Amino acid sequence: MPNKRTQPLPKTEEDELFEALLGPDEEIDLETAKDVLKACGVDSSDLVSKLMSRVEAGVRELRSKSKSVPVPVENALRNLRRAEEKKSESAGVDPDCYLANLLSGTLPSAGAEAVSSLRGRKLGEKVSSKDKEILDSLKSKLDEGDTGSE
Amino acid sequence: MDDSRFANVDLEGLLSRLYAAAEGLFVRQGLSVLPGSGKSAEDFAVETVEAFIFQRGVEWRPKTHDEDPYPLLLTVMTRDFLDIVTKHSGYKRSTVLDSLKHEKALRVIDAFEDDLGNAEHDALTKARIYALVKGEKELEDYVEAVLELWPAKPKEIAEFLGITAQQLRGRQRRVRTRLTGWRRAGSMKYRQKGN
Repeated sequence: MPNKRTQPLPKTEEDELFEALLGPDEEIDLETAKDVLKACGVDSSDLVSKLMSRVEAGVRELRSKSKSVPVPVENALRNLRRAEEKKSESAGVDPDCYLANLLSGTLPSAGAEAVSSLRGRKLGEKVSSKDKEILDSLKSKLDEGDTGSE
Repeated sequence: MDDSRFANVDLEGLLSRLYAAAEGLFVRQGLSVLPGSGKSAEDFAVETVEAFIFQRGVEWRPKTHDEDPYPLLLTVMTRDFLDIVTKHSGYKRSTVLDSLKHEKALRVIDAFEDDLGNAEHDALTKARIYALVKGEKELEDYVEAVLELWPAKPKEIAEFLGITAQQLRGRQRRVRTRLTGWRRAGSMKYRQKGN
């Protein structure tokens, strides 16, 4: 079915002048985009986070209406999570695990869960085996980070 | 059927490219935010990809597994942007014209002033672009060639400057970066519309 929104737009003379000066928008590649982002002081990971929040909200809305989440949306979320994880220092959440949490309605993610679990502990109370596991995993990640940065 | 849409799309790259294009749209209109909606270039890029993921008004059926959705989304984003700009300017124009409907002579004056305003605006835009690239000989020559030889084709401009097509693209990229960075810094307020 033809969609008006996706039909190419006619170009005005002003569009053509700008196109001559800046190059066609259709030819914006990753390098150009990076230059523009840098000039504008915008980080691409912020765009990813913003999109991810919106997609997560959309998924929650679908779930609240007892609708199933389309496979392409799940793919996109997994993809976004992967992109965010690459940049995030504090991540460490498996994208599949994250998606399963989101779809089953048990977000916050495993990472946030770990933090709240540790914060809830009273002074002098013994660390549970689960918390010890979390701390050990965080320690090994920090150790890996130290080695990796050299 | 296995639906792998969005599994392998570089969404971060897509957002970045759309953001750069959206900045270009704002530069062309001389706007910081979109009147009536308050939307920024960032909002446009993010919302376009969001609609794409949820297939709201944009249906994407890639023919190959590595098809780039950027051209499709660029069209959608540009259309949405222009819809808002047109809606806003249409509203303003109709209120002005309504009040002048009975005064034909006044409408002629209004049209003349519009033309004069556009000419002034064009001259000002050119002056601003020149000022922006001042001090960088390569870019000064490039901008001068584009404006003076207009509507020459890129190939003719490259020939005139004695540079390759690749060098021409490099200069276009540098001018784009300068202009968008400049807009972002709030230097294009001379053409603020609405608000």
